[in-house]
Amino acid sequence: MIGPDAKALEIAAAVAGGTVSAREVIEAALERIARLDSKYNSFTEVTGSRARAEAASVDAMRQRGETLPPLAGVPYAVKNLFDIEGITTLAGSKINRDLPPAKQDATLIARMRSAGAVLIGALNMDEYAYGFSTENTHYGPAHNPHDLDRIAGGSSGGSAAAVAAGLVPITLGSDTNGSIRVPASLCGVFGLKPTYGRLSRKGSCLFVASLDHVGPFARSVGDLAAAYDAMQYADPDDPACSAPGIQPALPQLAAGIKGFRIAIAGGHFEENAGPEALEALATVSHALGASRKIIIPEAARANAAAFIITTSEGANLHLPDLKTRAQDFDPMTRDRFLAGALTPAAWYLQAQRFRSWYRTKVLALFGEMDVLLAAATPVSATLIGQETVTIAGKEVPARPSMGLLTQPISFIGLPVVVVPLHRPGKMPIGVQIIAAPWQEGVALRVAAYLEKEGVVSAPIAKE
Amino acid sequence: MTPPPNELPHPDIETLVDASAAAIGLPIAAEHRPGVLLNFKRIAAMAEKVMDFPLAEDVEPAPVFRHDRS
Repeated sequence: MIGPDAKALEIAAAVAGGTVSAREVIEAALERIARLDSKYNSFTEVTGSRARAEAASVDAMRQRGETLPPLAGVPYAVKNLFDIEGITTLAGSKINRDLPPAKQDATLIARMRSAGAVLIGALNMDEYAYGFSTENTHYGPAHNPHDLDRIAGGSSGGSAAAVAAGLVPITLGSDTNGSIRVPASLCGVFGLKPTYGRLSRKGSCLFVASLDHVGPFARSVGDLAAAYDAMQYADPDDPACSAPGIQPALPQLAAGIKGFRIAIAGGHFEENAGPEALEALATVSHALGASRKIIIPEAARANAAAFIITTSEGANLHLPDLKTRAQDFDPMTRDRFLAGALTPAAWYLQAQRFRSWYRTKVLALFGEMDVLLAAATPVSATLIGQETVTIAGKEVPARPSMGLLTQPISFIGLPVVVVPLHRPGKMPIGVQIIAAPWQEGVALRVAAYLEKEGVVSAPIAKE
Repeated sequence: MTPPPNELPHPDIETLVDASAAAIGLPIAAEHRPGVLLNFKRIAAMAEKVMDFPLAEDVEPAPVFRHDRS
């Protein structure tokens, strides 16, 4: 029997072995979503008919005696900024409801389908991905499955919540400044933000073209790697796609960490981490035998530059709607978009030039290390509606501060796996395993080691 | 005591916001204006940090960003 805590690879093995049919797996997932998701508000659309058709296709393959693909019969769902054929892509907005349905699936959905996975729905997010909390005014907030009064994080909040609640074993999200890593940390699940340019964004609604990444969430490192491997593809339709080839991570996952030079990010990354984030970082560092600290130069300035690039490019993308129907934007994003549309070119260009400088400095550090550790969020999940949070003794705005530790890393597109720590009686919190460009496999191996040692895990929330 | 950057008086910000919005044909409704000014001040505070940093003339912007090329 397949329970809600079953991992994707366990489901795929059971379907391939004939102990359960894809149809049975999907019906169980649909039943659980129907019964529980009103508490979490993680789904904005359930694609039941499509899921049943895809499951039937998997079951037919098995009946014909064909070898099943690696994720056959595994249910998954996507942040609602990915195009799903026949459905309007909302990207968390009210405005996009006026758009026609998508004509074809996003590249990543097509890749998942080829791998046998079964799409079961679309997930809640901050409007146009501009936020770290998924407190969406149009569709309601996503609730953290470990404490319904708290945020799931954002902008891929629905994606993290659905995995944490055991509704699906795999989801897809996007990350511009932390939108996979922040909700993974707050909901206590694994998340992978690959290298910028690794996975195709074709058919996903852009937010900030020069910073946007897409990637998976899961409850085990094996599932995360399996989804990542299934989605690797040099897509000629995404101008940012530039990976040096397909580099599967799953086969090397158990290879261990011997020989890796692992360091801890000091300075900005410690100064902006609260006590529980530092405690989680210390636990992970200790388990990996890492004690050396490395200072990333000008990380705070990297935050500032990413902020400017984000607001400029994001607002430019939505300028026609800002001009004609600003009142239809979510009040949580509207004023930020309007202000961003007015950013002087000198500020934007200086931010992009600073980015070049910063990239050179940070990449040089990989001459003396292979992996860098940093907390993923300054604090664990805050309350829905909470305006401020105390970090390093200072009261700061809660929502933008959630990205303080993720933003300087995605700014230069480094690959990161977030590993979750669950502590009795407390909310989960995550740690970032950061690697050099294109070394997703290294970060995943470190995450797999920590999982094997029992340091990190992603148990589903109690119903 | 120095106030945090977001609370610094920015007498020119209102002029800049109103003039830029008019120049690009972006109407700012009266009820949205206070929020837009607040957010523009935040952007300006961030810009101050970026503009303060000296960069050599040969440091190019990276509009299509690649890690593996510097």
